[in-house]
Amino acid sequence: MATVPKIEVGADYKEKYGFFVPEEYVFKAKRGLNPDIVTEISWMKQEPEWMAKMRLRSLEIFRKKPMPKWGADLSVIDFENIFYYLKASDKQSKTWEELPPDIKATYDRLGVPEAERKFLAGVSAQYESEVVYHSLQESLTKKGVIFTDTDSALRDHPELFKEYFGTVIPPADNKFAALNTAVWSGGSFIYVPKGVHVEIPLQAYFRINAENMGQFERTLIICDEGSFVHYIEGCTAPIYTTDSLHSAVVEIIVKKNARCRYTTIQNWSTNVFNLVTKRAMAYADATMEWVDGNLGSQITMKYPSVYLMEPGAKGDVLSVAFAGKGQHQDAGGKMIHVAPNTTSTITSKSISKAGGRTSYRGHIKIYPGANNCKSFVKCDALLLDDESRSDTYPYNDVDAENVTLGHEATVSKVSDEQLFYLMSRGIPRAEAETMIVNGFIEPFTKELPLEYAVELNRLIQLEMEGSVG
Amino acid sequence: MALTAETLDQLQGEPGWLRERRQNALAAYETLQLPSKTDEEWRRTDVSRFNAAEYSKLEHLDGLKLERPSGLPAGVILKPLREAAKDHPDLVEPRLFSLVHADRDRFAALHAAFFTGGTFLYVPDGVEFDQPVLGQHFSHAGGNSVLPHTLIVAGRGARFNYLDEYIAEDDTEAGYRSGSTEIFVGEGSQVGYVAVQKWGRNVWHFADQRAELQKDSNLRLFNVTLGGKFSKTRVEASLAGEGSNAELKAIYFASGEQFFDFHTLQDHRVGNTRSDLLFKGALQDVARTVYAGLIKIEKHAARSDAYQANRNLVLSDKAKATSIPMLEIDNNDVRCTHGATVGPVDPEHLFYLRSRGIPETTAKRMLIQGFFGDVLDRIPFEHARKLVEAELEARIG
Amino acid sequence: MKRVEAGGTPVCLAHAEDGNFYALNDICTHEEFFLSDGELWGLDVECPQHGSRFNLETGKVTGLPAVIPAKTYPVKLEGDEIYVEVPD
Repeated sequence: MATVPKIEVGADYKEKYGFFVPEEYVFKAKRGLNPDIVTEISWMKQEPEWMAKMRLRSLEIFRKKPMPKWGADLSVIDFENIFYYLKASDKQSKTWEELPPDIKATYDRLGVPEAERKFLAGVSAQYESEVVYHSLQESLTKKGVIFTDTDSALRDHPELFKEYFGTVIPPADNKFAALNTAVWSGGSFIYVPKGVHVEIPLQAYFRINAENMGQFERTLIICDEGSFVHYIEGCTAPIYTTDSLHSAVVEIIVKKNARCRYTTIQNWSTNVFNLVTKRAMAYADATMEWVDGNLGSQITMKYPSVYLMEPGAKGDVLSVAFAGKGQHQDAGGKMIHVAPNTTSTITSKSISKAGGRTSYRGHIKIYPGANNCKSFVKCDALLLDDESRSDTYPYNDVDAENVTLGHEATVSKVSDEQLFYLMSRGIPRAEAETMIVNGFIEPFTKELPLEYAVELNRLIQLEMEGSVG
Repeated sequence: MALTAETLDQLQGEPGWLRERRQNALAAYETLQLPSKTDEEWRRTDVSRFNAAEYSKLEHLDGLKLERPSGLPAGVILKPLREAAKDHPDLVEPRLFSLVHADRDRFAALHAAFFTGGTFLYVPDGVEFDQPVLGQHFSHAGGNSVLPHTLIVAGRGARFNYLDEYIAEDDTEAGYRSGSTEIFVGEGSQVGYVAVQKWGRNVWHFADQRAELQKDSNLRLFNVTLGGKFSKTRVEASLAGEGSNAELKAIYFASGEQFFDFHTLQDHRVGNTRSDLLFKGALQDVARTVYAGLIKIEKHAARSDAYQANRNLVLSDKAKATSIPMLEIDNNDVRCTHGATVGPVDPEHLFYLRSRGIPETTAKRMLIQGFFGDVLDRIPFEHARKLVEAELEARIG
Repeated sequence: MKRVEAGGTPVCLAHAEDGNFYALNDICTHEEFFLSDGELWGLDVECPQHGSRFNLETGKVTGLPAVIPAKTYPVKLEGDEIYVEVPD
């Protein structure tokens, strides 16, 4: 039986993450989306002309593309009511003390500086549209590791940037990738040189503070041959009565023999639409691992994918989704087998409660010639009451020889036997249910660094108590 | 020539209500758009080369040959559907196209407008018989449309078996075929239905099968798909009464340039219902198959139990299999499991057989037969099982 | 860019910025939309639907989500006539 970490009961999202500080901005673009706003963002950032052009073109693509007809209901998003660019600090800090006091207080309260001292090799903190704090251990800088915000990367590493930006996820890929390319700001840029192993994780923390904010970070990670990096992102926002939009694009290139692990603990408040495109390309004998936890947001649509480009490449997605009242988590993964002898697994665990809806949506595609591939998908859904809903939509296309593909899914409720067993030992029902849920997602938590695992179990407990939303 | 209102003149002697219904379906056909590549159901299914106008000559009565079981109990009605429409409008009119809707899409509308016959079987309350009803549908001259429709009504506590066999006299003729079926499974009844589709290899085949199950009824529906250059079959069971149980099974064997598409639905509308689906197929040469199935557990359908599996055996490097098993679960007090596999003949099994001195081709054939074995055992009655085993034998051969 | 048919094969015929004509199979290898409805970017053609890019000269994929190269065909100019050689 999984043990539940001792945690204080009664704290809630509002207390811990949902607070907000008064808005004070160096620059706040007008509400709404038009070519002037896009040009203004580019001008503020003093970008090269090619980027300004790419943004405007992407805006046009965004306008032309229809909203997705599948998945969650996105018709409620009012694109004209959103602030697309907010700059809260006029410079980026290298120490927490240099930050404006409100922002520093926010991160203190979220525990980010403490986490950095304890177990992180580098930290990036994004507040609204811009990265306000950045650090990387000196030993890594010396080895040639680049970990910076994406705006600085465009300025400081223009060639590396231009070689890869938009090649994994072009603006036309989907409506929200186009939107992101038009108005992107912030995000992380990571380059790990050949053979370098970044042994302790790098972390980025994304925070939305303002109401009706749109956050559009753009992340680009390049793992050169034989390298390794583990990148962790966390995200939270205050609870407002009107909606915010988070629409990120993450592009990752994992070269020969390299390995990249990307961990997300998504805990947006339940007024945030979270529509994210994440895609990696894995070359010969490379490994890409997405560890994706979705707890917060009103609607999430996110399907991290791996293009297995050369023989021996390996892709993993481990996904956990929790949907409480009013939430729809539409998550999953995609594995595109382009080359022979590639392997992939997707493991999805979802929990629905209090009318929440979780949907697993996945795609396994084996292209002609990608012979001798193996792919296995396992989805388990837990429905905690009869108000809630779970869907499974797995698409499997096999066009090659000697491929072994398997998909399995089950949907169940918390078993009465388990519950009875625990309650007969004097454990109150709510706590017993929490224990069962924590046991259910253990394959996920055990992949997290300890501190995050503890945090995740705590979040699950909060959700189970119904104190969120 | 196209399929138009004039084409309907080929179908004389029908009652007014049926005529009107055909005209409405034709109107629906003319307003409905061809499905586009962005419609999920049609994304992998290319119908752009299908031109109904090429097949505007309707095959009268579709060459139906009905084999009546000897000594059919009194009250059982078994006759060609067009005849039944005249003789028993009270039984036929309210049911025909009430499960398979004419306006669902362009192909359903085309079938409803021009269906060329088929069978009506009515088994009154409490009537049982063992010998299966056999309906054989033949195609004759080339370049035509053969569009039979089967309507089966099982009264309370009725028990019987039915086999539809779609037979090509000439394996190479081109044509347009559809073989749709509606089954009303009455309270406490037990119905076995088998459809064996072995049209020629140059025809377009569209089939819509839908059954509605009342309280404590039991349906065993089995499909065998072997023919057609293009074959799209929808198999849907609507579990509308508590205690009902639907078993949906199928085998398919696709070779050459054949394309098969299966869409299935297990719709649990009320609680205490069971459904069990298994579709197994083998693919060789450059054949392509698509399986997409949905288990839907509606809000109040507690204590439902649903199972869905699609297994594909891929025997060549150029064959393509798509498998999309889906779940939509709106109640937590249920048991739902589904699975899909796509894979080659297990090399270890092959190695084992070969090590016993069995030649490779024989060993492969044994493994293919073994693959279908468990599902063949689920064919609801002996006559159909023997028929299917022989058909498979000839194809795996 | 223009869509032409050659012996039943849909061909995307492009007049690129280098002044040359290029021909490649018009069906995008990703999800079968027409490349000729897309845009030219230097010596790349971009699919209008999902933004996949192909090199005009080699057919090589230069941008996801497509992964399979496009078939290219030799082009000959004779006076005002353009000939595309499509194998059977």
